Amino acid sequence: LLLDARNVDRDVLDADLCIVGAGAAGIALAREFVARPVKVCLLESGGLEADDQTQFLADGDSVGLYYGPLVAARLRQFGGTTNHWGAYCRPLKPWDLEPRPGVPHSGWPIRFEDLAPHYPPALDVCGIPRNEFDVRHWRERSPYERFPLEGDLFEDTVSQVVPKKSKARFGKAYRRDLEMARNVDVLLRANLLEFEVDEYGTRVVRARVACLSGKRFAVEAQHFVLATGGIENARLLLLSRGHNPAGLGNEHDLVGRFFMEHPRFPSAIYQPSESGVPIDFYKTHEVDGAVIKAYLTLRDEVKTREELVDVQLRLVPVHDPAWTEALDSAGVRSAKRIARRLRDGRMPDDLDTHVPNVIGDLDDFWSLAKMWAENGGGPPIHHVEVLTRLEQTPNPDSRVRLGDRQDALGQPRVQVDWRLDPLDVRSARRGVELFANEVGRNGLGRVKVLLSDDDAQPLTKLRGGWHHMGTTRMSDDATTGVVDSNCRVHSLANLYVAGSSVFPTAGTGTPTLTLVALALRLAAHLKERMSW
Amino acid sequence: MVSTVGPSRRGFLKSAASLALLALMRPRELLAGTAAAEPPFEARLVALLRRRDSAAEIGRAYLRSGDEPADASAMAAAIARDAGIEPGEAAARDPLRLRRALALRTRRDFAEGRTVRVEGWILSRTEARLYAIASLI
Repeated sequence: LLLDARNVDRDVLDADLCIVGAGAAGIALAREFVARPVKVCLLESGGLEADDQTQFLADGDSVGLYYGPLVAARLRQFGGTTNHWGAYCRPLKPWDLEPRPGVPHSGWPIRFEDLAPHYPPALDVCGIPRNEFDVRHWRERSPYERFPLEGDLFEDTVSQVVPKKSKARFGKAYRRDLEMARNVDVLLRANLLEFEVDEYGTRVVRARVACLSGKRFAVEAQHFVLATGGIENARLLLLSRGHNPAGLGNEHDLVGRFFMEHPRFPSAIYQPSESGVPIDFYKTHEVDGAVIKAYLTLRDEVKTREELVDVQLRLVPVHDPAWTEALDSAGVRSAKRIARRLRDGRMPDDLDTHVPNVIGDLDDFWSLAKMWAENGGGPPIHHVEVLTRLEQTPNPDSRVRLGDRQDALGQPRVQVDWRLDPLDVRSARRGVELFANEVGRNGLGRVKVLLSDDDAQPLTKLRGGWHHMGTTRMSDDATTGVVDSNCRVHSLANLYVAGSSVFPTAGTGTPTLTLVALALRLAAHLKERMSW
Repeated sequence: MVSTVGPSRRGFLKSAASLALLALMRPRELLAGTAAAEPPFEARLVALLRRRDSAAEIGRAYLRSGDEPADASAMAAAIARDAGIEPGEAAARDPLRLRRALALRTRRDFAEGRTVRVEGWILSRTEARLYAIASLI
């Protein structure tokens, strides 16, 4: 059932399982309990649609590397940030989960084999039609040739994009499942204030909830799952200070530390030796009903040998200025407009303007056709921008903490102190240097590296991918992680964390598919525990 | 960070477009300069360049790094040694064979990591020397 928390008429609600957050992880988890003999309460801060007042609860301060407006970093509404994500999916690789030489704090407490069975159902939940990430499969079927970078340093890696955006928006795709479920209550506009624990500090007994309208109540449950995103998960644990002033699960000062992103930035300019170099395989394109995008990544052996974190390169063509100029002429723009209208089955009403434009700029059409033909049937490439995306080195000084400002509910807002490690910069630079060498060795052109030789220098035009990870990291040792390999907070018998905040390392792939797989794995664990 | 000293980015892009000069030159262009009396080896190397001005621009930036003394003869000798060329022999007088030997050496430089960084561009040591010679003679 979908309920508005502002209308709750009791001080305490009961459930077997209380899930906080109806985003990708929370919804994937809740669906696993539909029609089971378990009473589920799913708390969501927002409503079915976005509203400014609720969204502003996500605001905070960025005090480290610039991290954009936090208020826009997550969506507080049913479906969470899937309401506007890019819908790129890629599983982690076995190497991503391994402890690695030279990469501090790397290594997951679970093996890839523990995660692998949960990827196929996670792909289904995310709306990806085919469980296929072997690049050979896509190379054989793609209409585009791969970049002919031969050698044993780089390989192609493929992500899939959810082809139908309606499936990617979890709120829309799964609203009906949860609305119709008699054993699931979705409480909208319900903000968790804190978890309260028993007198021994070993079990969560209730979640204290508030609405912006002033309404307050509690939810008592046997098990609680926190699934509010990589920043908010840490904040809510830090806000739960009833038993320990440092926050829940924070006995070892780990909650909020190891904040990771996927740093991305322009790293090089590649000047091809000929304009027809094939790089279209690396753009988002459709293949057999699936939508894929390929990247160049360093092979695992290279990263291990050179002690680097994962490095991914994206090749973005910048077309010849003559091509861009001709495309932007009034005649070509008019022709496009006429074609668009005709495609919609309408005649343009301003034909008197457009036809003279087209006739007047016929030479531009001629030069475009000539350039297309000379370039072997494609737009001429002037140069190629190389964009790097990194796996961020786990760094305890990169962290989320409580700030001084308060939100509308009287709670401290979050403060994000995003920091990189010198290994990140070294990996980025080494990655493009190796790319430059390989391009030269293969006779494909030359590369200009845009990164400094000095690892301490900041990266120019650095951005994240809005991927918040690592702040409640997973470890079998309570002194090195907040949750155990079942995503249970070490010091609490019945509090779990779902989402990418549990990732100890993150590879370079997007996190949503893996966090959904982990949520399904957690659901299997909870089902087992609840059947005791 | 990337230094702003030296050739402009646009200039470098133009220069870089000529970086494949060895591979792109057509046999007829290569043969064009061979009829006259035999020039010195440095000049024969520079004659292989399709865009000498652009190459010289990169060469000047390379020399500014101080990695190599500004001595055209010494650099030409180093190129010959690394590429296994004897400047006096027939192969070194044949532009096609000379070009092939340099292209091979250049690729091998990249494979062996014998590269230099000039204003951010990663170049093979051999081609950097060639461009430096172009800036000197």
